[in-house]
Amino acid sequence: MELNCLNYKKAMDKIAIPQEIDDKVIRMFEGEKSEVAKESSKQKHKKIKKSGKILLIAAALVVLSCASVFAYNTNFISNLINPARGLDHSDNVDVNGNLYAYTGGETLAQEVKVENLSITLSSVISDGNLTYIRFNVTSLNGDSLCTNTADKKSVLSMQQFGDIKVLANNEELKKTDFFMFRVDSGDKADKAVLELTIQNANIILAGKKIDIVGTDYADTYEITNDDGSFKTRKQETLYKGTWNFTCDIPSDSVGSVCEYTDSWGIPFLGTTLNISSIKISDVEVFLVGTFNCSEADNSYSAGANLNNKLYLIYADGTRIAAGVKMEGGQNFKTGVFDRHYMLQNLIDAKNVVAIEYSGNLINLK
Amino acid sequence: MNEQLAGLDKETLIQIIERRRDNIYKIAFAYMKNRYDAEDVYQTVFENFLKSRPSFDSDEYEKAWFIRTTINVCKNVFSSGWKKKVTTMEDEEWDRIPNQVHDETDELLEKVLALPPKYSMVIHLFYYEGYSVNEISKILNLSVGTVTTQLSRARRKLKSNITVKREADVYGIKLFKL
Repeated sequence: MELNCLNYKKAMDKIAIPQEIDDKVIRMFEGEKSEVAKESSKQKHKKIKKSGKILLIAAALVVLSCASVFAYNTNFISNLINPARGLDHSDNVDVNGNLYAYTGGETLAQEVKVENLSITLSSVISDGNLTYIRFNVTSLNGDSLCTNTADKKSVLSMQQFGDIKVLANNEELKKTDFFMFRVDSGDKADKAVLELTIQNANIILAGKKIDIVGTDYADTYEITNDDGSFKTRKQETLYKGTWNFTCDIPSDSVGSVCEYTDSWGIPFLGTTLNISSIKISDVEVFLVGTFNCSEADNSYSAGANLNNKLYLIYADGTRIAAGVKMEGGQNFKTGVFDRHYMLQNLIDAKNVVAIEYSGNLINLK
Repeated sequence: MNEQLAGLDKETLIQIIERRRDNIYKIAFAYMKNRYDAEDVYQTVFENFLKSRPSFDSDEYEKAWFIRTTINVCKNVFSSGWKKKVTTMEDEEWDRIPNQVHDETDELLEKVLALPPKYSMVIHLFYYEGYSVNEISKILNLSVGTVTTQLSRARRKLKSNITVKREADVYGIKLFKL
């Protein structure tokens, strides 16, 4: 086909522009307006405070609002400890003595006494329902707290947490309703690893919007050694064994939306997942095995995604969907893939007690 | 036009979105080569717009502002550490034209998208936006000579890619993405 205006326009016109992104822009605009309204409301409060006559009323208002914030936070924390909502954080300190902070950035900074932070986004895993983001926190006025510095440019600098704005399901949420920071205070007071667990959301970090809805990213990370140096933690537990599971995908799924597709969107006709070993470190889970399937049209081979089918089960019953990243070569066989794959879930892997795949449970402890 | 965007209301914003959504999204798509990044760029462009609230003397000026901003945002995203860091799933790059029958125009689009951004941009501005070489040179802040060269190289590359594909089809050879 020749390149000309008509043909190119025809091709381009096929690209549908999702309506949701317009809605997001409008919400962004409306959110901005409500920020202005909040600001003017704050100004009004200042004026009220200045007025001696109604100082008493203002004080009463403050007391009332404190009470409501307290009530709100209590409710918020009770939401957090509800396993159905996600991770279980029943108090502010976990079994390893790590401090958890449930509130926004200012409180976090106060609690762990970390100042001048920059944040490196080290991984994002999402299954479309829940998204887990891991940040490494670096102190700008001292040694790096985390050494994920292979690419310095990847550090999303942020001088204060006030720059974080979170939109969940396209709605801007109050920070306290949403943020769950996990802080590992480590050996030094200024060491910290920040974890942020959110549901489908757009995050705006220092003005840079990161849309993470439905995406699946993973990257390497490094954590602190006991001696204070920084390198990747080696501790891991190896679970050996063989587990074979078959995922039944009806043959008439060709052309329809299928959970298992290759990079070209071609659905697989059948999928067998054979897990040969499971390695678990404190912070990640590796599954090693093969992934066999047949493509609908036996055509291209460029890797595959397995999403929304693997879950990590925690001791408290929390069930977290995990993304899977394929690993291995690109050996092409007509209609058959043989792949090693790796599951990366970077959240408290040490507390994982089982893995569920297609309804089958692998007990690890 | 002369809109006082400082007092921008929702209706005006919606009108601007309707006027410019095609320009922005498709440039972003042509540059970023996947819809996820294109959507990201789209929103960032409007975020910049809402922050700066520029006033436009004419429709053409408004269009040029949005196109220029879109290209700048694309470049930023493309060269940012964020992009380098998180675009690890090669599959996404190919998630381009979902849910539709593959025909010759898709093939043409794929070939254009396979070109380096500097070439796909001139192609897009020339063939889709209908800009002249002179206008493209102003938008991209390049000399007329450079734009002419890029356009001609882009066409040549495209022609060669399409010819290879045709020959492969004629001889029944399948091309695999490795």
